[in-house]
Amino acid sequence: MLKSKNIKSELVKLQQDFASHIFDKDDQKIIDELPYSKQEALARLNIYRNNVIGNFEGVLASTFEVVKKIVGEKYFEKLVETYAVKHPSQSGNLDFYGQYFPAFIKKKLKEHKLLYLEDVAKLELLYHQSYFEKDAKALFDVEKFKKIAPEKYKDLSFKLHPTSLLFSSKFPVFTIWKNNIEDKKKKIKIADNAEMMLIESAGGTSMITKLTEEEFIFLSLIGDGKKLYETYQKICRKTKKEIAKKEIDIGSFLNRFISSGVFVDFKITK
Amino acid sequence: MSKKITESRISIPTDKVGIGLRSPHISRILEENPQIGWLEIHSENYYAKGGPAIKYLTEIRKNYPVSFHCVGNSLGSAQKIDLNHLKPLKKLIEMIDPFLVSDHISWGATADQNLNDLLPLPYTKEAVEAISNNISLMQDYLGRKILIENPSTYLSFKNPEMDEADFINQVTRKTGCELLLDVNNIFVSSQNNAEFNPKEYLEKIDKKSVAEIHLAGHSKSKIFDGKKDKQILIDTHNDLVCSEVWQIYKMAIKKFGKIPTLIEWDQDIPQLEVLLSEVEKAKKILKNAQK
Repeated sequence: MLKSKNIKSELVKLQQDFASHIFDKDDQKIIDELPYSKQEALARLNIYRNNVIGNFEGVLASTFEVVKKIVGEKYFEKLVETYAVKHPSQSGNLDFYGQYFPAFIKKKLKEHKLLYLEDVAKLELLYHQSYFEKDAKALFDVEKFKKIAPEKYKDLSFKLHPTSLLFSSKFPVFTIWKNNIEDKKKKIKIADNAEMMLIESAGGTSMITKLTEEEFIFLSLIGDGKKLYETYQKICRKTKKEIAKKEIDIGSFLNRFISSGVFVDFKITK
Repeated sequence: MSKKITESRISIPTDKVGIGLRSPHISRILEENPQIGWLEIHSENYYAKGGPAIKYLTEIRKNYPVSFHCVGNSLGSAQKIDLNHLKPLKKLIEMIDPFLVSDHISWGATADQNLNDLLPLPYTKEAVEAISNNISLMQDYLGRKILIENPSTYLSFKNPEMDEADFINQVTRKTGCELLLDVNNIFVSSQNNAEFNPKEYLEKIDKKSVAEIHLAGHSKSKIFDGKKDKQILIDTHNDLVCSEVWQIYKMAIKKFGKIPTLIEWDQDIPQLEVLLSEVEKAKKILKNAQK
């Protein structure tokens, strides 16, 4: 431990003054510590300032690739500079530095006027976070599942892969995201065009897929631990669709989510 | 000196040259298993609970010795290092068993915030105390010796109480840690600050302290000092190792002997062959070194 408070304060002060230059542009205190003319001191300090802000921008740009494409490089840079001051990094690891960025974008609505931008950022954040989640062991025993007697189907429940995340927006956020990732210039109808999505990371690759309303409700309820029959009933109630009329195909849902690794286990409980 | 210091279970490839493991080369390294002495990772890139990064690192480790190079512990900060930040590092060490673990002679955090960069320290007794305390905390927490890397600097502070080589010697003697001698950083700092010449710097550094060497490229920039433009070298790791740095490397190998050496390349990453050709150049120099 440092022995003297007075001694300690010199290094603390120098490091705080350095940080002030980087974030607040309060330059004079740190310039006084340097053996250069003011102009040269600022030029040298700005190498560090550009590195620090550049690091933050690099991290946010890789997480929020589509947000950056939508708002353009210049405005994105401006957003990063303000974000860095409002939400200072609290860790030596920048994996989750962007966690407040969607909420920050919402607060900037008056500037960018893009109602859907916050949801695009939320989707990109979930996609990014799924990369860091713990892998699940592939427990799903397909052979055992095939042997289940039909009368027991109603008591089935499933465990979702921990990296499977659901997201819904009142805006067509999946289409916006996909068009930008693929550099397509299609016109998109924004109003009354809600979309639902699944972020999957099973098998070591992250991907976002669009879900129908029924699929979204199905996965939400299964993810909440609801049994298959109860899930089916609730989907019918919520969507006013029926399995008998082939409007909902639970079998295809099961095929899809078992084969893609979204379901990692199942159990039958009374 | 820290207590309970243990070494990695694997031997140190002193006569081998490695490269930094970077995303564009991962699939080729996994598929072709090229002849590379060892690989170094930036450990913070592998702090995830799971996912593809951990998966490929585990695979790669089966075929190569691996070292960890940390960038986020802020050893030179006036306040105590964040032990929470060391938790995932410790877990990763247990999983991968690196033969070396290193960080930098720099700071990057104040009490209020993290700047996530390698910022310069004043060469004062107080800074020796602060960084030594943090190195000891890190070594005690990890239960092993670490290496610290000499910095690239773009400025120096008024009234230094010692030069950089003295500063390093004091810290390594006080903590028992070793030095990751970055030869490019010696050249960059000597050009930017004009306060030392690389030969004298190497002569001063304690012979037994050096345990790893880094070689890298840099870029050139200009600053205006109020009267004229001045050249500044930036430690960008985006180019071939320059001839001056190869010369300093030869001097270093002559003094320090066979030291595991790494080619670093972090930006504008070229084909693997370009790095392997740099590896061959370093190997030729290392081959002639005394044990």
